[in-house]
Amino acid sequence: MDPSRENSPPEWFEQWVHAHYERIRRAAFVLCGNSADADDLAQDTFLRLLSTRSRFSGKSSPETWLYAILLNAHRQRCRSNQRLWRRWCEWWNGDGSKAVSIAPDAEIHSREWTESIWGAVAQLPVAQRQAIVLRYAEQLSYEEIAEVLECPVGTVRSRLHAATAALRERLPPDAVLRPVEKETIPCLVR
Amino acid sequence: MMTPATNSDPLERCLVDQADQLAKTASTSAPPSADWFLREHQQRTRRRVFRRVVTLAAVAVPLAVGGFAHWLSPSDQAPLQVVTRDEFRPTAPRISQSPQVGWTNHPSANGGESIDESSLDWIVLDQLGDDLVPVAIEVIPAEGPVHFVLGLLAVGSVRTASLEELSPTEFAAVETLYGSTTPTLSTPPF
Repeated sequence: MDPSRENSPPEWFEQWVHAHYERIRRAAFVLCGNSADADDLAQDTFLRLLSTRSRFSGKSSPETWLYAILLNAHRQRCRSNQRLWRRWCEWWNGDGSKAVSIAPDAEIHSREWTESIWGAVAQLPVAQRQAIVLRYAEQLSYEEIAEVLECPVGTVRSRLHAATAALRERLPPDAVLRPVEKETIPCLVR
Repeated sequence: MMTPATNSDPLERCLVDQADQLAKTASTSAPPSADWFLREHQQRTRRRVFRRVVTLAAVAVPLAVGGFAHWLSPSDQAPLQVVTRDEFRPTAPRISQSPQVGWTNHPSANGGESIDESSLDWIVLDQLGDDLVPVAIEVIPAEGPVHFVLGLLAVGSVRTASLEELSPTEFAAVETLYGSTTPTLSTPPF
């Protein structure tokens, strides 16, 4: 092995970063709602790729593989945040009876994201939320979503149906068709 | 590969439109260099190994210390079990029918020395694991302070101790037998 290559990234990795980083980061932004978390999540995805690349058999596309890593990372992050948030609430309230049930990072989302329908999507269960992101933000087919989520196509359809039904119930009718008005860089609302 | 979602439904169309809008408004950031990813990956690997070592040590060290302490702990720390001579060795040959005599006075049991059997009046057994190790306590009615002779049959050791020199365990045994720590021959325990 060439020693000069030992501490340099493999060629395939540079190609994958170049080809897919932007798309993964975009999906991460729709999932998280703020740029800082989206950057972290996208970087985390590619760092995990370095560890898991040997398991990539090539049967699926690189994008599908990366989406799967991204969603796993996001799921773990949600669990970790919920645990920390629950502990903090218990400590703050003295007991766990009055724990607040809002998302842990709700206060640092960008205003545009919060005001958009994707802010409401964030209130859905993680499995439904991920299916919605893959379908409507990333425009994947049902089969591709099933491959990413490692579940049957019927499950994907069911999750999407449940998610859209929940969204219709939660949103007022005029909110559904309202476009995002501001085309500015999202600001952090603390 | 990407199959656009058919957006005949207003809600679905809104999800797609707003995701596109968010992707445009979100601040884009260039991906870190591949070298950065590689460095971060190596640091993560080191941290992961360190965490595993710490976790392993956190489990293994207390177990090892506990096992070592148990191995080092003196065997005579086991609680004393008080029994009568007959319970201990009912078939032992009795040298005399005197109520104060009846303990086997074998040199091998006394470290090669004979004990004045006439003054033996009771026996305390020490429970050591599965083996019963008898401890003979001889009360010597002499002038001055009361003395005890403590003989460990199994190990063949004999020692003489004043009341003040008794270990807490031995002291408790004497108290149990006599009801006090001022035994006299006129109040034998059996």
